[in-house]
Amino acid sequence: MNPADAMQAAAPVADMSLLGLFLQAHIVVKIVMIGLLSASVWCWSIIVDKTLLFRRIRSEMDAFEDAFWSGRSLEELFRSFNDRPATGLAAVFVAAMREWKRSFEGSGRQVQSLSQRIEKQLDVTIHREVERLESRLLFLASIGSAGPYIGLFGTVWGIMTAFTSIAASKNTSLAVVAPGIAEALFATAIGLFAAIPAVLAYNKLQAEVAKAQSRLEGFADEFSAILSRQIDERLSLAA
Amino acid sequence: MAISLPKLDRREPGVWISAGTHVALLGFVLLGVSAPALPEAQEGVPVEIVTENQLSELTKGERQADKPMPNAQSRADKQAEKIEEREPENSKTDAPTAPKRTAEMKLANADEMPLRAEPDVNEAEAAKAAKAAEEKREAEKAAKAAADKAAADKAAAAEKAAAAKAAAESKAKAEAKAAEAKAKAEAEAEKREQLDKLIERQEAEAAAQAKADAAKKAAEAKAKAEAAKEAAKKVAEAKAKAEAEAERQKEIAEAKAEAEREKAEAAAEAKAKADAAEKARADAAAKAKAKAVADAKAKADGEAKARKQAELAEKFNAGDIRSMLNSKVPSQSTGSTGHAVQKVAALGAATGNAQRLSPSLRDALVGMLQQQIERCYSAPPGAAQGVVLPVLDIRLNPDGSLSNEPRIMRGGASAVDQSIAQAALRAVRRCAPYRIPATYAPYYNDWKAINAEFEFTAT
Repeated sequence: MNPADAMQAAAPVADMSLLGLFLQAHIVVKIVMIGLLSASVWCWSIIVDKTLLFRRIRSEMDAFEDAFWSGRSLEELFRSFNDRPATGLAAVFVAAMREWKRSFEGSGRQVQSLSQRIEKQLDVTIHREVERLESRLLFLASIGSAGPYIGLFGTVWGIMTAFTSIAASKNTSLAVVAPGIAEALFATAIGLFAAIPAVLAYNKLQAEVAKAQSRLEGFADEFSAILSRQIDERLSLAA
Repeated sequence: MAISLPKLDRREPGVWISAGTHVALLGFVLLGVSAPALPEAQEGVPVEIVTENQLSELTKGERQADKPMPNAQSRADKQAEKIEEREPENSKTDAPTAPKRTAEMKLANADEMPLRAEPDVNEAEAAKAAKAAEEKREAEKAAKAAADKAAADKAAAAEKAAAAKAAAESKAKAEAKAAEAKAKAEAEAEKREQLDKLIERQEAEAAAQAKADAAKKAAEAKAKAEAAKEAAKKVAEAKAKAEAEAERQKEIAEAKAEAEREKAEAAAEAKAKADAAEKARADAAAKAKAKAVADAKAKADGEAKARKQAELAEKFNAGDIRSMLNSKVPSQSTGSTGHAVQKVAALGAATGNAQRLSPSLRDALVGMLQQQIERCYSAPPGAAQGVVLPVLDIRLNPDGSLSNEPRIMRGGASAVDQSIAQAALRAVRRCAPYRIPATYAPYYNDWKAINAEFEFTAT
């Protein structure tokens, strides 16, 4: 190769726009960037969904507690909530009431261990509800911790190729070094762009889940106390 | 999962909101914020990095070439009758140095003409001075010659007179006896001449020689005449005496003649000294005069030169210099020779000067060669592994073919080693055109001769 041609080839036209940086990057760096970008999209979709879900759950809980403590009879409440798929406190209430009704509507009365059965039922229902609430939050945690590392991998790879190109062009001017390093650092930027909201949202949503769980458990305790009092009353009447 | 069912769910719109936001953000960044016009990269101090290779091309290449060419080659005006293949280790030291200003290229300098004329003037002056000195010398010579002549004339006159006297005396006495005496005198004169020659050698004064000769002659003549006279007298006084007496007389005469001659010589010496002193004085005077004349001339020349320079400085013109330089373009043909005639100037021939292989590159090349040679290598029977590894000298063309017969540089002494080396040699010939990567092309000068140790596993 003629040295003059080599000199011309060695001086690249640096396209420093974001699209240019992406298109110049190595295929591995491109894959890392695309993966991080889609992870960011998925993270934000989770954040939006969860935020809406918690808001809805909170309003539903408020509405149910209002209805529960309004003085209406348990039968009435059960009838009104049994038709539609219940969530949150209503689900806990419906599950406990169903167990209660099954115990009295059968052929014989099985009141002896009814309070234990109801407690089990409440525990299972609370567990199911909490699981539904914190589903997909683990993905946020993963992105929050692994995103910067994935971005760093792209950066290291890009810097490696940048140094290879420096070695190939036998030229150490900043114009040769800069585009490679810039495109490599772009990968880390995308990684941080995805990871920072993921970490913040994960902490926030985790706190919301804990709050909802404690509220569910509190209601379950109260409700099981009411039911066990009713059972004791019925046992004394029967005896 | 939302991705598996991409219909819009009112209760979980997160995917769509998030994807839409990202797309909008990216679009805004790419289209709106993108293309930040970078300022033209400017270095504080413009530095151009010239590699060793480029420098060698700069100094080796031809200045008249229009542009660098692919496959640039060194210029060759005619085909070489004898091609000299230099060893790679000598190619650098043998390579001609960078072209300097050619000898016939003249400097455009207003000072030039006077500077070049100056030595001529000096020479003329010197010649003139030399001529004058020579003339003076000649005149002196002539004067000396005249003086010599005069002396000689005098001597001749004296001789004549003596001869006349002797003749008269001899006529007055017995003529036959006079003749005898004359003969005797002649013999004596011969003896004296021999003595004289010895004396002459002792006398180192070259200037006074001629005069001394003349004086001697005169003295001789006088002595002769006197001897003749005395002999004649003695003969006349004792006619009956024996020849022994005559001999005694001769001795006496000799002594007397010698004394006389010494006297004459002393006189001549004194005269010569006086002459030399006079001459020295005359020379000194002439020299002083010549010096004064030369000084005056040098002064006059210097003034003339200064005047001329001033005139030239007034007439200074850059165009004149350029036209002069243009008329002095050195001839294109350099008489260089090569493998083939290459008329076009080769700017940027990468192989203009030897580029050295790095040790790792060289190692890789030897490994590549070994790999290729090994395919053609068949171990001699019974010689699986030798003690001494053969060192082969392989000469290659740029295309990888052999430019020369391969040789064994070191084969080992034992028969096994020898046979292994020969087998390796055959393998080198058999595999002949070698594939050498294009990256090695610039280093051809370094790998056209390879001396390396080859180790082949028996196949």
